[in-house]
Amino acid sequence: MKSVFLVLMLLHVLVVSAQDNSDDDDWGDDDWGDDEWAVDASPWSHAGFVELAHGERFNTDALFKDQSTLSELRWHQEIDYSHENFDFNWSHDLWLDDVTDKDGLQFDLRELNLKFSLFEQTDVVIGRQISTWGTGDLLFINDMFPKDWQSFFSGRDDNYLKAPADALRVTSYFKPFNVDLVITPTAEPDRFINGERFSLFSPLAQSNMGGFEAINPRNPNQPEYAVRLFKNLNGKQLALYGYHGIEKSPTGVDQTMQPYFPQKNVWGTSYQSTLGKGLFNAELGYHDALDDKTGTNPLVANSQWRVLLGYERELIKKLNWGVQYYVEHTEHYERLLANSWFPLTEPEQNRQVITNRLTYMAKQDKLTWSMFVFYSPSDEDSYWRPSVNYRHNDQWQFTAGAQIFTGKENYTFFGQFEDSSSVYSRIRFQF
Amino acid sequence: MKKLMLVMSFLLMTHVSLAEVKVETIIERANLASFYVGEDGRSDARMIIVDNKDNKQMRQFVILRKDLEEGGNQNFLVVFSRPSDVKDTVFLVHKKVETDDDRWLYLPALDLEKRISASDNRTSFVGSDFYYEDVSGRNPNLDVHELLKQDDEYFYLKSTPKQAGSVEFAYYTMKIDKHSFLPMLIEYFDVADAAIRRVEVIEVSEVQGHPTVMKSKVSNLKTGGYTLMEFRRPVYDLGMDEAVFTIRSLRNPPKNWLSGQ
Repeated sequence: MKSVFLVLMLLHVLVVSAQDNSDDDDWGDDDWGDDEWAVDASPWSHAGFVELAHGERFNTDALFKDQSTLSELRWHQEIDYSHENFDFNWSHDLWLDDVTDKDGLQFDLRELNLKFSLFEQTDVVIGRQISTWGTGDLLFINDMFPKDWQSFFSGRDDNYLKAPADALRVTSYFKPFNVDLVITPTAEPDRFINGERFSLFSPLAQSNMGGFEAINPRNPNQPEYAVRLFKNLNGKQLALYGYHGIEKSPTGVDQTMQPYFPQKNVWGTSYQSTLGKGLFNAELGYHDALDDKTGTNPLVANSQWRVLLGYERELIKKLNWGVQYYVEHTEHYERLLANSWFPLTEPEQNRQVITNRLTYMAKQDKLTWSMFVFYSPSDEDSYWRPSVNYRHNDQWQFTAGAQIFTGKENYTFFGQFEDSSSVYSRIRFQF
Repeated sequence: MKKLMLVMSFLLMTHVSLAEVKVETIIERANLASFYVGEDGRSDARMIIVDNKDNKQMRQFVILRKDLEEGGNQNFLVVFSRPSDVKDTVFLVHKKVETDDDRWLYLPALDLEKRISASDNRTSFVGSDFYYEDVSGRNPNLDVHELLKQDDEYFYLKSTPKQAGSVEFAYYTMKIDKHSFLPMLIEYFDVADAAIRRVEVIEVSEVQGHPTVMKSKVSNLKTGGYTLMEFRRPVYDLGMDEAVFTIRSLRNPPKNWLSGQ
């Protein structure tokens, strides 16, 4: 019944937008008539799309009966109201999901917030929102805002990597530097890999678990505080970061043997500027494991230093290349090994990752070829994200791609997902 | 006779040097008339992109500009409203004549403030037939300019890049209006003297005393595709603050200048 309702709603949207589009087609010499500007004069604006997506493992993961990793019909809608003194933003996703065992119809409220300015120099966003900062490309050191790894691994649009949180964001712009503060009253974890859609390595079981919700952690109830001081000095961008909150995935296990989100602080800094024909960035962060400061608790990850160096530039017309070098240095490594229940499957002391991104745009930017590769020489594993997107016109888009994980061992960061490697395709109609 | 020769050669010399001065002046005035009108400006803009199969795409945005020096560095803020996949996307450019620009892109779905590396300026501006350079201006010092001829209405110029091979054309010609100094027609040629690209002004209006391009068209003569650009509600000398062109505007574009009211 619900699905019938959804389909009807989609049809309605399609018809309405088709009518909209017919207006756009006949752009004669004086088509910029009053009607067009009447639309603009309205404080309301809307946008959205309907998307059909499918993805399948190309290997078999024996833990799953069905090998599809993505199978959905999705409706995304944004509605904004713009007033002289404030903005109201709403956006949601409603989709029929055929992969997980949960009820087929899923709802995700992505934005419901009010945005306004105070005292000339301060911008406030209150409500459900998506936040991002930092300089890494798909690598995050100081950005502790929630991410959706399930979407990312399954081949949904890159935009779904970021998950929303109910938060208050206050950004003030001062002469010496700017201050950005995000308070999340109830910590919002990542949408981490929990076994439902993809299996993952369980250190306690020493094997992969999946085909059901294998990780069901104790939910956090503490707040998160994230602060950024930043400045742009003639194109040289400097930032300092602080964070008090949680590990965003339930990497800890408590005394009752239930997974949970250990407390953590992060302190860091970043720099970005042009270098030659390209852009250089560096970012550093100290991830302070508050629940295991001495590094002796085998059930909570140790503190880490994380460092990132990156460079990107246009190689030839429309071909962009980006490279990053990233290290996670685990502190008190001796103690970690000494106390570990399974020292052989612990991460390396210095986990290194090299990423490469190549993007090529052709046919007047309608066709985008993209390849992003994570490769870890220390873990001997990798993650390849090839994709091609064809933007037929302002309404229709087609995307195809793959998510390929390789690894020598089944316990490394990317290696554990080897059986999750998949191909996917998406068709989108936007309005 | 000798005297006559002397006078003639003198006249000839003055004529030549006048022409030399003049071509520089024409180029300078054309550059200012096209890209530096007033201290700052805003306009609604819309493009329709048509490929050789008559498929149409559209882009709608507001463009804000502030000059830091007349004929020199400038700041631009471009805020997109349509189509829906670029709605609320913001593009900030600190254009530098002598070095590469600083550019930022804001992607609202990810709340991503993305620093982007300077790209080849002769690549498509948001998927249209316009190049970045057509929108923000080509540094006149990159080319050698010569005045081919003139009539009552126009100067006819030919410009050749100092660095051959650095761009996709061998040379271009311009037909510059003698009164407004707006280049009404620019044609780009390849080494075989075949026209490969055409930029033409279709409509000009007087805005606060400044002749202003209201409609223009770029044709890709190799593919048969073209892009029409229209401007609406242009205003100059609004007294925009430099703060309008900082990274704050990526997340919070200045409403008063966007609405143009």
